[in-house]
Amino acid sequence: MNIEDRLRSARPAEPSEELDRRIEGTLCGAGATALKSRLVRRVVLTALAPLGVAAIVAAALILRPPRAGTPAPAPAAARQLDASGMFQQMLLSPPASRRPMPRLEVSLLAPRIPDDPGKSP
Amino acid sequence: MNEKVIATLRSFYAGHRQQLYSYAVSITRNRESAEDAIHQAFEQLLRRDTLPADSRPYIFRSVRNAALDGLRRDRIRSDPVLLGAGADPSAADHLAQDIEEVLQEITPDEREAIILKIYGSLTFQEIAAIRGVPLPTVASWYRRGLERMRTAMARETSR
Repeated sequence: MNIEDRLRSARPAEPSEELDRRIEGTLCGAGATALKSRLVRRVVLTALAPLGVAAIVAAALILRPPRAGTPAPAPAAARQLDASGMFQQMLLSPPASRRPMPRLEVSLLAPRIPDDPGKSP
Repeated sequence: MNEKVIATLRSFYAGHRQQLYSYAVSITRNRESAEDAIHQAFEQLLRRDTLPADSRPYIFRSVRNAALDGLRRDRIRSDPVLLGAGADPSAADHLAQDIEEVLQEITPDEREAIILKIYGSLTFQEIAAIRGVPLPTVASWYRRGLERMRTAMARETSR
């Protein structure tokens, strides 16, 4: 029998069961730690996700560029005001500039009642 | 800690506990120190996020480093513990004792190459990766170690 065969035929010593228990305990402990950290990570992510979405939406609203080609709301409101109530009456009536208005003359010498605009002098 | 690493190490230990122990004890020459080295190596490996795709040489190297650290740290009492010798020594146990004695006569490099090749079932390529040396160096250690053992065994037999 050559030396290699003799070596192979010899039975190597076995590690003790104590080592098996130690290794298994270490692996189980590591597994529990890994599971715990995964759960914590998931909880934190779940809690932070709505906040993150809200922050993104807020940032998008703040940083949104003004839209071109859209009429500003102020003139539309003005048109609504113009078309209602006393403004509507004014719109339906002839313009004030086309109606004869009483003339007011002011004299520095003596107060004077203005002439009737309907009568010829 | 990565659950994949944990699963890999659990599976590896189940399949290689004997080889890891033979290797560690060939370095420490002490049963308790060898087991401490394996345990310490696994603790360190568990701190890693990943393991190499071919993790066998890597884990053996980790055990080697832990065993050498133990040797440097502690003054370890040397015992013939590599091969299983029972309380009732039979012919097979006598053979084991002879081989054990002869194994102590070769250099540590030669002994490591022989233990890893024969009891660890590792290839020369893997042993070279563990030791960080070229493959021909490992092959040379192995052949020279066997030759020394053969000579020593012949000398023992002729006595």
